[in-house]
Amino acid sequence: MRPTQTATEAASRATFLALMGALSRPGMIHSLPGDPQGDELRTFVAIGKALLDLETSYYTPEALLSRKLALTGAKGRNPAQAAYHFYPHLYAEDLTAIEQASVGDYLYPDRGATVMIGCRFGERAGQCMQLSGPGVLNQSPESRIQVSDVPLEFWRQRARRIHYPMGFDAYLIDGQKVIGLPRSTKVELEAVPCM
Amino acid sequence: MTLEQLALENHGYSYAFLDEFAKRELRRRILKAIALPGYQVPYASRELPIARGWGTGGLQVTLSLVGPEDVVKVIDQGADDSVNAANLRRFITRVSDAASTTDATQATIIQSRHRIPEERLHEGQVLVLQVPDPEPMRSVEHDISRAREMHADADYGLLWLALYEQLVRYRRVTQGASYPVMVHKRYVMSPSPIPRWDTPKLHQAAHLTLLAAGREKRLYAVPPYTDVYPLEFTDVPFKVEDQRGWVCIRTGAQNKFMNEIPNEDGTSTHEMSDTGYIEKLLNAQPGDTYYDNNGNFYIRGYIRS
Repeated sequence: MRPTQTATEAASRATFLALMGALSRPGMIHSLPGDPQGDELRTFVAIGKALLDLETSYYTPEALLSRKLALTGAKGRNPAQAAYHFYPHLYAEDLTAIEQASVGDYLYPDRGATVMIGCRFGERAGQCMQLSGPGVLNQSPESRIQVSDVPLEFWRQRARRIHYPMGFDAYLIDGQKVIGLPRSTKVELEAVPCM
Repeated sequence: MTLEQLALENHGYSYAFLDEFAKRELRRRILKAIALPGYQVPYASRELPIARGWGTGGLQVTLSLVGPEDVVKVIDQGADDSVNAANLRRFITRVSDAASTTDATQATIIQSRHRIPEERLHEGQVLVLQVPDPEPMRSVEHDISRAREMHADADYGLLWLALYEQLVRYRRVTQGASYPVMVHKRYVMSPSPIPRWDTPKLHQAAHLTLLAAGREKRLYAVPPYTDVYPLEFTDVPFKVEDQRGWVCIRTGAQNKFMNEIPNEDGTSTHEMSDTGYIEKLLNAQPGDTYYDNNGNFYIRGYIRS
């Protein structure tokens, strides 16, 4: 008899495919599976379930999320040691933690951390950004994104800390929607809103 | 509700063969590979009921991606019906319930040994290439630790020297399959032993390419719309195989990659390597191809020779 895919397996795979699609096409919004009406940590928990296990480590400043991520078997670590960072809200004080996030080294740049950040897409007050690099089709609509609820300093910090191939990879998460920003993506801040 | 009702039936193995622990590890590595185009990410290559060296790297990547709604195409040197391709396809569909096809444009996942289909792949498709040797510098640096340092330093002088020596000795670059390419202006990558004909198809491609070596335990990626350039000298441009004048015996097509079939009288006949494309030419309307009927690559000016 052939094994069938369980609901947990299906959810993990769908989450991974959304993350893979988002990282392959930076700027393009992909949809994560799950209940859109669930609590605000649901997406971060789902990503944790898809990627974390006892071989990996995580950091989050949110106590409730930390308890939920611990159920995956992954180790809670300080920001410098954690492979995955989760920030359902990114406050200015969290930038100290991101400053310590691993960027890997020239021999093993894949040891750079992955950072998940809760934010809002497309709101008028957001910061408009022009993206370029692998996966970004020049002049395509997704090459410009507008993001709010992320401190402006984060973008300067990202630019300062990424010395390709060293750097960290980021996912921007708004509810069930995700945008991937691998370290290979160049982000230029624009002075005027996108729309 | 009893424990018996809650527990799943014991099938002896997991959905898509690999357990969730193995899939999660592969998926984490795939994401890092996409973030670092051309960089070889180490991974824990698992045991499979297929010997290493027979496509287990590609197979593990495919198994970590595949779901019941997927449509899978598996080819070996362009052929859907070779023993290796047929067995891998049967295995993948059996353990995942995915459908299979020979049509490159209909497949969601294409696992391939040493060819990229003639028809242009589109966004959303994933091409999984089986890789026997992921290290492009193997011929010039046998120590893999030293080769890793050279990748870290972007020190590719020895590779350029090897190409130059070929020119000096033979008046042409003799490197055929596995022609080294520069990805996103940073990492030199082996595109797996695809012919030179297929190498340009990776440049600014709409699809995602994942390459994995099971024996060597490394995987790497070329995301969509990424610069991929073969190593070439300014005055000695990269050339694809010269098959001008070769005509496919089954379809009459020209300027597609051909297999040469020797005849008893010493002559040769030719047949297109991509059997799925032959099928479409004979029975249906094929889609756009990377090379037109005159042999021109679809991105004008990319092949300078």
